[in-house]
Amino acid sequence: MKFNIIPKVAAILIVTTALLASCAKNFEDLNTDPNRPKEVTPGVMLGQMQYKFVIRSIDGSRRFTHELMQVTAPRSSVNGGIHRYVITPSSNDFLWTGFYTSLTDVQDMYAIASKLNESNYMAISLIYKSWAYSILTDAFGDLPYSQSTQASGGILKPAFDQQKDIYPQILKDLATANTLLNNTKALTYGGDFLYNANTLTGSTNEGINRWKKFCNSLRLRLLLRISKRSGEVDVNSEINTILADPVKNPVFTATTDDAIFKFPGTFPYFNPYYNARLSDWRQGDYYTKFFINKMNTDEDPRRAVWATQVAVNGANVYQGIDSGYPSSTEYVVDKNSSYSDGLKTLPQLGIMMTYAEVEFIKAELALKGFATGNSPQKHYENGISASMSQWGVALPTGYLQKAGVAYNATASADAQLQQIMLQKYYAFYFVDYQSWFEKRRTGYPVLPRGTGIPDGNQFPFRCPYPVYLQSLNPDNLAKAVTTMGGDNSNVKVWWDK
Amino acid sequence: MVIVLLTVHTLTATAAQVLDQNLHMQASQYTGQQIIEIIKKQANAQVSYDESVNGRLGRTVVVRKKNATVKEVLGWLKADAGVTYNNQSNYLVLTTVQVGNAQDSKITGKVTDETGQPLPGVTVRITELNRATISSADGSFSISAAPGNYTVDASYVSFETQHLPSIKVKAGENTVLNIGMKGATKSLNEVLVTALGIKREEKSLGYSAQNIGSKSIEDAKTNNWVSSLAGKVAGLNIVSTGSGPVSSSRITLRGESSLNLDNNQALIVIDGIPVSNRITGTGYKAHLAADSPVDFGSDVSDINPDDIEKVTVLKGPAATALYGSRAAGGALIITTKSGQRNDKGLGITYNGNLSFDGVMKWPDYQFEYGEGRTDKYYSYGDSPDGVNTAAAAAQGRAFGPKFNGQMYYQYNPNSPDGKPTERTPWVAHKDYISKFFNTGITRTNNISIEGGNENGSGRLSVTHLKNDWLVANTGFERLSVALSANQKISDKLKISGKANYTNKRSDNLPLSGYNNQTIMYFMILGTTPNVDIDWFKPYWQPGQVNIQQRLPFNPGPDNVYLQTYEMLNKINKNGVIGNVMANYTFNPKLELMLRSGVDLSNEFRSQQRPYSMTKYPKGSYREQNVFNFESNTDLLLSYKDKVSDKIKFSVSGGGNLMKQTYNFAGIYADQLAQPGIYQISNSLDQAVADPNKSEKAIHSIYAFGQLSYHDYAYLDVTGRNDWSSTLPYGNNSFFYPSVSTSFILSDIFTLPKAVSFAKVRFSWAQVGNDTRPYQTAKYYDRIYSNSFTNPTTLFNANLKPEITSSFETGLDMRFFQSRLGIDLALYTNNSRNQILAIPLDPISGYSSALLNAGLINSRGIELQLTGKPFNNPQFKWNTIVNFSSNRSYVRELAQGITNQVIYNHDTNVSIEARVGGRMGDMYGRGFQRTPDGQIIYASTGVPAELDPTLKVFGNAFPDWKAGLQNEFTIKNFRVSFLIDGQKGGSVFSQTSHKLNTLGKTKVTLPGRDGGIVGDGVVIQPDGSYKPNTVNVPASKYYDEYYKITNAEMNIYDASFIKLREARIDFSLPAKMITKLHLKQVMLGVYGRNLLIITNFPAFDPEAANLNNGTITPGVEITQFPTERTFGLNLTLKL
Repeated sequence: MKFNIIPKVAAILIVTTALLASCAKNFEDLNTDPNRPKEVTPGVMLGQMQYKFVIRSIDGSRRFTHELMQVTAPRSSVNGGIHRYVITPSSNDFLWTGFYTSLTDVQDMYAIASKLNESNYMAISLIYKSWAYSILTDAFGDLPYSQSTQASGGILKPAFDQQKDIYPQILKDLATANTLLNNTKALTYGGDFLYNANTLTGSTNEGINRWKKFCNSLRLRLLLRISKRSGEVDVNSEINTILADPVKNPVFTATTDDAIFKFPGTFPYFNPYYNARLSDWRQGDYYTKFFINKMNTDEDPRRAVWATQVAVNGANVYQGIDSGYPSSTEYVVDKNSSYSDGLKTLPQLGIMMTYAEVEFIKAELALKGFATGNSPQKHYENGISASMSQWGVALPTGYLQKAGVAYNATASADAQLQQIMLQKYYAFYFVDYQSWFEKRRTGYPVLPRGTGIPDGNQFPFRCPYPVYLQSLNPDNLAKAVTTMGGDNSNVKVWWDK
Repeated sequence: MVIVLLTVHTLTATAAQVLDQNLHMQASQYTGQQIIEIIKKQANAQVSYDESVNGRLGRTVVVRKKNATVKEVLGWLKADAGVTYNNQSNYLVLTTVQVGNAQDSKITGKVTDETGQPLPGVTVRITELNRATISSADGSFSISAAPGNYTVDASYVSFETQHLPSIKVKAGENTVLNIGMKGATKSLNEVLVTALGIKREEKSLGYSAQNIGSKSIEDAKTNNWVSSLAGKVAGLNIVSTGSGPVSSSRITLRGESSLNLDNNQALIVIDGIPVSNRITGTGYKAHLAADSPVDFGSDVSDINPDDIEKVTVLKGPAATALYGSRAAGGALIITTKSGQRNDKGLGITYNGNLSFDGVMKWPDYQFEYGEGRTDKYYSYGDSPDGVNTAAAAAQGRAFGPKFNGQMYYQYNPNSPDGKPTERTPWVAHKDYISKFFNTGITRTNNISIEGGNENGSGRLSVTHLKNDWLVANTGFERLSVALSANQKISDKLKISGKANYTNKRSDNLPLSGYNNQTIMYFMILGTTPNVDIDWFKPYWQPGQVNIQQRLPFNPGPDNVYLQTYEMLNKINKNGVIGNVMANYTFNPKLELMLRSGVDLSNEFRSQQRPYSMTKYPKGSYREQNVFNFESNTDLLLSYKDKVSDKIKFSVSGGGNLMKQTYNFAGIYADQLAQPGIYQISNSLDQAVADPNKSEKAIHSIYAFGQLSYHDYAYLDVTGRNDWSSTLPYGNNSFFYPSVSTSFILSDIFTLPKAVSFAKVRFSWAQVGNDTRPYQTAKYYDRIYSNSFTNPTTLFNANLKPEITSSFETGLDMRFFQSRLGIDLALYTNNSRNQILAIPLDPISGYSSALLNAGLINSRGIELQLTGKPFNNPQFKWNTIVNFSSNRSYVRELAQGITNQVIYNHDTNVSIEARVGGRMGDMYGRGFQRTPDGQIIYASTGVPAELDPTLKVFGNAFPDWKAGLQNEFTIKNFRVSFLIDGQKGGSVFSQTSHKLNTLGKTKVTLPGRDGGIVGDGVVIQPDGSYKPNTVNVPASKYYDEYYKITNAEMNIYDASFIKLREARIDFSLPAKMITKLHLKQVMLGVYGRNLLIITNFPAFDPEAANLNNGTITPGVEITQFPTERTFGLNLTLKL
């Protein structure tokens, strides 16, 4: 060929290489995700976190607590079963992993809020943290607390803390939250679904006032929970401090204060059961005789909200089944009462803590001689009527005077406690694991033992740790198991010993 | 212009040389026509000519002398009428003398096969001039050439290319060249398209590559062309999702080398341009999610098989190293058809296809017992016979009474509420499932026009496909337009372009998977053998149209006709795949190629759900716009030269710029304000936007060289460096080399005569693989539309590319003039530095962390035998056997990690990589057993709680696969069939699990009358075992025995043998079609999936499931039936 090729070729190669080199520098921009932010405000984190926490806690209630505490029993159960006190290690995995996942957000939100100097978000973080850890530790015992949710800081295998060290921390956090909450300030970045503390009404943030009540009510719940350990933690004086100063340490005083995530019923915050299949919702479980028969006796109006009716001899009735029945038993579909379909879309199912519970706490405190401002009976009756109004039913006339409901103030302290705890048990319907925790603490309500429960099976005192820990965090698990004295459901947690 | 050949028949010339025959002429002049008549009569010659000649035969030819030879007379004809001739075995073919090419002479002749039959369609090329033509229906051809010495090549699919060197063309004289083609089981020097579109002679390749011709793809057409590759390529594994008309496929070559199953799929390249095999999912996982997946297909499944000329399968990294990071799992290189140059004008081909689909295989349904949990009696609702045993009480179980014609209160299809008023006979509806499925019909019409001249050629093809699928109101329509053009702009510059446009539309594609709103879920749970499927047809409650569906039986699954006619999933997709290319030849040694291509598609989808469906009580409406774009620009400079006659070399260098853009915009109205109105504006709540955008780029430079010695030893070296945007700045540049060699032993040594060809090859290669975009920094995850949460995977700012290195060796031998051939390949691959999301203790804040770790070793063997047992003119038999076996072992995972879950079907079964185990091992729970293997029962008579330890109960990938192709040619008939199968491989069958627990299959018949005493032992308090003696009802027994968590019972051997394809073709004889003024008429009858032999209990052992956009093998989640197809095919060439 007549022309010289070499320079042309060289030019092409140089241009190509230069092009490649210059573009590679832009790769960092190109590899920046346009869909997801690198930084967020507390407002976009809070709502989803509140929702995720509560859908797990009420699901724990439905899947675990209700079966264990004889609210419901499965229609058919060939092997094992929570109602036969067989607590497998995976029973509450969803709670463990679910809560810890959201606790990562809680921790992060606290850090972001600190940076932004948003004390209300900081306080809300602390309240959720305390609420979540208290449920986890009451269910499992010792667990990772001081080292958890710090993978980004390099802690991939967190050590476990003992419950006796966790509880004081929780109580301290709640006390801090109580002082951080500032009712003259709105939540700058919004996002609160629980109390809608996003805006001020006039110059006051009513939502923040309620957060404060929730914070102190939770303190009361937890102080009562560890009352056996008052030698290690000064439970009594803290309770007294709270009761003595309702301005500084307000607690729930009405059902409007209830810590209930009310599902708006619009995307995405639906009642988590709104599209549950019939077979999953009410064809697999029935209410037990223990639970439904008393409501039948009392003609408890909450029955209509909670349960379906079945036709027996031409009459529509509420009817339950045995709990802990023998393996050979199988109940026919749709022939006993189960969860009503109304609950699937009920907004106020997202319960965290209620005014009714606070009244029952006060009833017990009053019984123990604390200055609650009222008699145990008054608190007891307030608790019952608060629960009725919480579920949207009117307290029937004369209900509080009915035999079996009417408070016997002359009975022994233990009998009075038993009465309080039975009504508290009904008020704990769909409140995470609280009725189980309280049963462990007080022994009430007394549950009949099913004939199909093998002799060796004992009522559980805790939930075994998830199995995955054996592969992903074995050393710390082993230490914890040694400290706890075993990893089965018969081991008692610190406050229960 | 249409070519019409006018053949004139005369007596056969008996004399040896017709040209030497003497002619006697009386007149002083004749017309050309008269001259021909004289030649025919007096010389007994056969003469043929075409229309153009005919136009000149009116001209006057002057008689120079009264007695002359035929040759002399033909010389006058040329001089006076401009008609010349060539003599092919005393057969005179007349052609016109080209004006302007007057000085050119011609090479003319006829192409025949071994039996002497004319062979149309053969490409005859003068290599020096790069001038080519195609032989016509009678096998004749003609190419003009200036005087000189030439090499002529004749090539045709499935024939050996003929090289005819030293063909002399003299001035003013036509050279007659008759070419005899030899059929080849595999031609020795077949040209393959390798990476980057580089064409190479097969014998020079140092790695395994295999060609699949268009015939193989068109022979037994399917909706997704990919499935027509099954059984034809050693080492290729295809599983299908069984998810509807499109039925997406997962294509892998040589097993699984990456722990990320998506990375193991083969790269698909069309005309040098990679095509996206991304499946944009809608719905979520296949098992009980909020919404179920719809299989909308991918850009790959939308490729039109009518436009595919051939597919070259490049199996290992050595073959694909030049494609870099994306082809670590091998590549399928598709070449689409381009215009064949045809001097005689246009080639028009029509191809029509009509096929009918039925169901290949049904599960073994029982029709002896009807609905219920008890066999005591049956009652639809409470009745004098007792309480309700049907509908909600039975929940789809068929453990009811036996069909003995007895009378029960049953569903009354004539009353609005279905309540019975009287007893009716208890009988089975044996078609209670099959009646729901229709005969699917697919109509395909394709017309293509092609043509060209010395400077260029073009092809235009239009194809329309309309599919009505097995399920009423489902199917799709596809219009494909393909354009291919190439033009020589100057002696040095050639440009070409290809564009494939596709429009795919569907008014409804069915939901797949296991969920209340899926058809196959309904077929398992929604109905029982005593039910007529027609009873579901009125799917609205009377007076509540669009508000409340009718569920006369099991209330769980949505009414199947509501699903079919109201839960619609629509798509309208427009896609273009195309490229433009310029080749500049500086001189015969130096060439520059520039090519730019795009794969672009935009699709609009919608999903509508009516009020009262189980999952969305207030219905829903969703829309998505999906935009997918990828561009690739390559620059390649090639230089070839020789050091001596023995040593030749070529070197090439170039670069590639790749850019991907993906833009998904979804908008959801998950509760409707007004029932029956499917508009986003009808959202009860604020509609929710779901955007997802991503971009990725890879820039590369590459170079490669080839050295050949004596044309019997070859050495190839390649190198490529990629810069990927998905990896961190410091680690985003990675280089991978390959070396391959090939030695033609039969040319180097003198081998026994029986060996006609022998070659050994060795190759080594290394390929890197990058990752998905946006993995190297912390981002908050969007959740619930406008909230954010911490990610669950801890990012890694120091990710490195995955590296796969492979070594391959092979042997290719042919015997007895290539009547028998054997091709053997052995390989071993190591994949390391895999980008893994290793599990973390979620307490740490993250449930997984990304890192580079792991080592997977894959080893395998591939064998292909070809044979031509009969090769007579009357009867030919070609046969191909292929066999492949692969094992992928997990050698290492991340430090401290012993297992990695690759996929799980909730907690029922998981595919896990465990150190020391095989890729694809399926873990699950099974029975508790005694040391001697007996099943341990509980005291209640059912098997005890499952053993909590996870064990391997199968492997998702087969031990080996094999295929047998046979083709018989008997005169004008061609008969072919393909049998293929696999040994081993396991599938967890959700279909079978649920059918069994509900008593729908024959395996649940034993023990119906009188119960079952399970075969096993019971643990005694002292630890000893005693045989189980407790009798339990069959319903309870099977419910427990086959429960979903029992992987041991629900994982099945997926071995199978299929009669995959069979076809009979009839081609009209050449004589007949000439009269019809056609070039080719072929009528074919074919079948697909005609027979299957397997122990797999559900519809198809070649199963996988679609989870959003990922296809997962090893687990079948209520697959649709696989189609058995019968089709008719007509090809007309004008």
